[in-house]
Amino acid sequence: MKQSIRRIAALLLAALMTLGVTAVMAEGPTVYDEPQTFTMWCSMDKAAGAISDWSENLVYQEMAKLTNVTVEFQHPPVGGEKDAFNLMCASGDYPDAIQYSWLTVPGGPANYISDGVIIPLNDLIDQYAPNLKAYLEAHPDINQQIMLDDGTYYVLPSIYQDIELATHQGPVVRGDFLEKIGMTPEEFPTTVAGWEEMLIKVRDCEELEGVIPFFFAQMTNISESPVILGAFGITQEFYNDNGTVKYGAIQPEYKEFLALMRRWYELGLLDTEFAANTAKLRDEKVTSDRVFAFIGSMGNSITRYTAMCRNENNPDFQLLPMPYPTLNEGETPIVGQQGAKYTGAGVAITSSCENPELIVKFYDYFYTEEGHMLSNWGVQGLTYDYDEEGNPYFLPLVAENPDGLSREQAMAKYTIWQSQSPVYKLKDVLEQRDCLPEQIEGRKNWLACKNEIIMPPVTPTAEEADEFATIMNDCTTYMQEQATKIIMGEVDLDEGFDTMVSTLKGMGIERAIELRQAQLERYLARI
Amino acid sequence: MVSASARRVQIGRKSLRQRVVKDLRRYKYVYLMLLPLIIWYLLFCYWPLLGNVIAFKDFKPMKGIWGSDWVGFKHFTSFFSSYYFGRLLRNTLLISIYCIIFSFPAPIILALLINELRLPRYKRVVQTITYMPYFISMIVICGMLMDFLKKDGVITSVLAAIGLPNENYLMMPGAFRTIYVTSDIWQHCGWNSIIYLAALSSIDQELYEAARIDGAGRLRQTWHVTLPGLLPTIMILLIMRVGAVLNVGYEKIILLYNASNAETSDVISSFVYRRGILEANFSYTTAVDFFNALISFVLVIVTNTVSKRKTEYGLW
Repeated sequence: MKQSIRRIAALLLAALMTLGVTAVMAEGPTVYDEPQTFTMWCSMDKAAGAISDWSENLVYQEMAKLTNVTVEFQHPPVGGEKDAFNLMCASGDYPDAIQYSWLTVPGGPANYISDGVIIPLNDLIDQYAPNLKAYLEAHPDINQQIMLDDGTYYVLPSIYQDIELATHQGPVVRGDFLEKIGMTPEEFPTTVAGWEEMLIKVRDCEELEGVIPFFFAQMTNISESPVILGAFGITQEFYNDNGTVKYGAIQPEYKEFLALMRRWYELGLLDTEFAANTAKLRDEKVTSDRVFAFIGSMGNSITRYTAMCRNENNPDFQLLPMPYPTLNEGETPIVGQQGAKYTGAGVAITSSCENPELIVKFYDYFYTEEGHMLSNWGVQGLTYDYDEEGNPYFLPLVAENPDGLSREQAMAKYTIWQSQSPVYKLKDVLEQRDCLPEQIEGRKNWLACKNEIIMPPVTPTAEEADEFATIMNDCTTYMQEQATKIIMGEVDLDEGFDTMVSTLKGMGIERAIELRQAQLERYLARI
Repeated sequence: MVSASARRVQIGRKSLRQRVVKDLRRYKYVYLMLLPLIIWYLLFCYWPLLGNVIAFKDFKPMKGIWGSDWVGFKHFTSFFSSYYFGRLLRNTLLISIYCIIFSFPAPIILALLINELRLPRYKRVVQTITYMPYFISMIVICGMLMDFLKKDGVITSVLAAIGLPNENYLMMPGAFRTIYVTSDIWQHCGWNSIIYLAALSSIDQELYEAARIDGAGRLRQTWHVTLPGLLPTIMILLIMRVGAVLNVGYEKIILLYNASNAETSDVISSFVYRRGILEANFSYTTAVDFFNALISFVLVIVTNTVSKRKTEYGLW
C-alpha cells in the first residue's frame, strides 16, 4: 500500500517537475517501472575484505528493491586506486559515474570539467535533486565547499553532519604503560616539555625495556600531523594565517620543531629506524607491545589494535586518545587534525553518461531523512533499531557479526556510512563504531583545538594545477629528505635548515604559496 | 662455397620484384603462417610507437593523441632542468652498471658449475632450488628484505655478529646498491642460467673428447671449449642488457625507497612514477621514456659494433 502511494507520489512529482514546478520536496525515492542501471567506478574503501563488490552491500540492494535501479560497479585493485583512476581518465573510456575523492585528483576537479571527463551538475541538481538543493540552500558553508570558484557543482557530495566526524587522528598512548611509569591519565602532560619528561621516564623504566617512547612512520607521518608540530602554531604544508597563506616548512617555527625532534632522537626517545618505518612495521611494533606513544586514528589504530591485542594474555592492553601538547601550560592547542565537512568524496557524472538524471535522482534520496537512515544505519529491524529514547543502535548483525566480521567491516557490508558515496553522515553512527569507553571520552581531547589556521578545501584552476604540482613534487621530496637528515644529525641544524629554506625557494615554493593565496582568495569570494 | 656464391650472383641478376614474387609463390603457406604475426607486430608494436608524439604535446584525454596541443620540447627541458636530474641519472647508471658487473656474470658461472655436476639427480635438485626465487613476487621479496634488514632483523643480526652495525640497513644510503644488486642476483641467477645451460648442451661433445686427448684438465676444457661455445649467447644477452642500461624498474625501488636512502635509491623510473603516473602527467613520462629509448638505441648500436669487431658475434 505504502509502496504504491510512494509510486503515485513520485509519478505526480515527475509530472509536476515537467511542468516546471520544482518547489515540492520529494519524500520517497524516485521509482522506475522499468529496471534501470548505471555503471559506476568506485574503490572498495573499507569494504575490502567484507564484500567483493559493492553490489553485495545492503544499501544498494535495498535501493534496487525500492527504485528498480541497480548500480553496476567497476572496482580498481585495492591499493592501486590512484593509478587506476588516472589511467581510466586518460583512456577516454568512462563509466556513467565516478565515485572518488575529488579534492585530491591531480590537477584538481576543475581540470576534469574543462577536459570534459565529468560534467557540471548545476542544472541537474536544480531540476532533479530537490533535497540536496534544499540542504545546500540552508547550509551556505557546505555550499561554498562543494562548488568550484565559478559556482560550478561537480559532485554529489558526501557530507558530515558534524565537524566532529572530520577529526579522526591524534596522539595515542598506551594506558597500561602509563601506569607502569607511575602516571594516571589525569596527570598526563599538556606541554611539550612535559611530554619530554614523560618519554624519558618511559625510556628509563626497567619494566618497559625495549619500548619505543615515541613512534612515527617516516617523516610524512610526524610532519603532516600536528601532534607535535601543531604546538609551534604551524602545519608542515600550507596554512591560513589570518587570510595569508604560508608554507610551514620554511617558517622559523619549523626549525624549532626540527631542533626538538633532533634532541629527542639524540636522547633515544624516537624510534631509531623511523625513516624506514611503514604502516606494516607500525602494526608489528604496536601489537608486540614495543610502542608507548604514536600518532594514531580512532578506527584504524585504536579499534583495530585493541581488537587484536586485548585478550587473556594481555588483558590490560589499552590505547588512549590523548590531548595535543602545547608549548606553554594552560594554552588551548592551536591546531589539531581536522578535515572539512566536505572531504572531497562523492559521485561525479561523466560525459559518457546518457542519462545523468537517473543518477542524480537516485542519490538525491540519500539527502532525505528516510535516505539518511538507510544509508547510515541500513534496514530497521535487520541492522538497527531504536532504543526507548528513540535513538538508533546497531543490532547484533552489525555489532557482533555472526560471520566473524569486525564491526567496521560489518558496517561496510550493511551501510555506506564509511564509503565515499553521497551520504549525509550522521554523528551518532561514529559512537556506535568507535564505542570503547576510552574512545568516547578521549575523542573530546582531540577536538579541543582552535584549528583556525587550517586551510579550507580550496581548488586550483586547470592552468594553475600543473605548475603547482610540478613545484610541490620536487619540494615535498626534498623537504622530507632534508628534514630526516636534520633529525638524524647527519647535517648541522642551522646550516641544514638554511639550505633547506634556500633550496625550497630555489624550487619555487614562493610561487606555490602565491598560487595557494590566489586560491584562498577565490574560495573566500565564492557566493 | 663456390656454388653458393655462384648462386648469389645468379639471383643478383634478377630484379628484386621478380625474386620477391618467386619467393612468395614458392613459400606461400609459410608466408601465410607469418601473416598473423606481422599484423600483430604492426598493431601492437608499431602502431603504438606513433603515440610517442605525445612527448611533444600536452596530452589531454578528451582531445586525444592527435588533437592535443603541441608544446615542442617543453617536457624534455622540464626533465633535464629538474633539480633531481643529476642524481637520478647517476643512481640509474650506477645501479645498472653494478648489475652488469655483478649480476650479469653470475648465471654464467652458475651454469658452468651446474654443468660440471656429474649426478643428474643432484643437478636437477640444484637447478630447481636456484631458480625457485624467480617465482616469488617482487612485493614479497621486498617485504622480506624490509623484514630481514630492519634493526634486529635476520640479516642484520648476522651482520652484527661479524662486527657491522645493528641498524636498519634500508636507512643507509651507502648500503642500498649492495642490497639491490645482491637481492637481484639471488632472485634471478638461477632462472637466467637456464638459457646458458641450453646453450651448453648444444656444444659438440667431440670437442671435449679432442681436448681430453690433448691432455686438457677440466679447467682447461671449460676455458677452451665451454666458454667459446657460450660466447654467442653471452654476447647477445650482454648487448641487450647494455641497451637497457637506463631502465631500472621502478617496482623494487618504490618498495624499498624511503626519505633516508633516497640519495642513492631514487632512479629515473621511480621519479617518473611519482611525477607522471601519480600526477597523471602522461606527456612528461613519455618524454622521459623517449629519451631513455634514444640512449638505449645508441648504446645497442655501439655495443654491437664493438662486439662484432672483437668477438665476431652480434645481433645483426
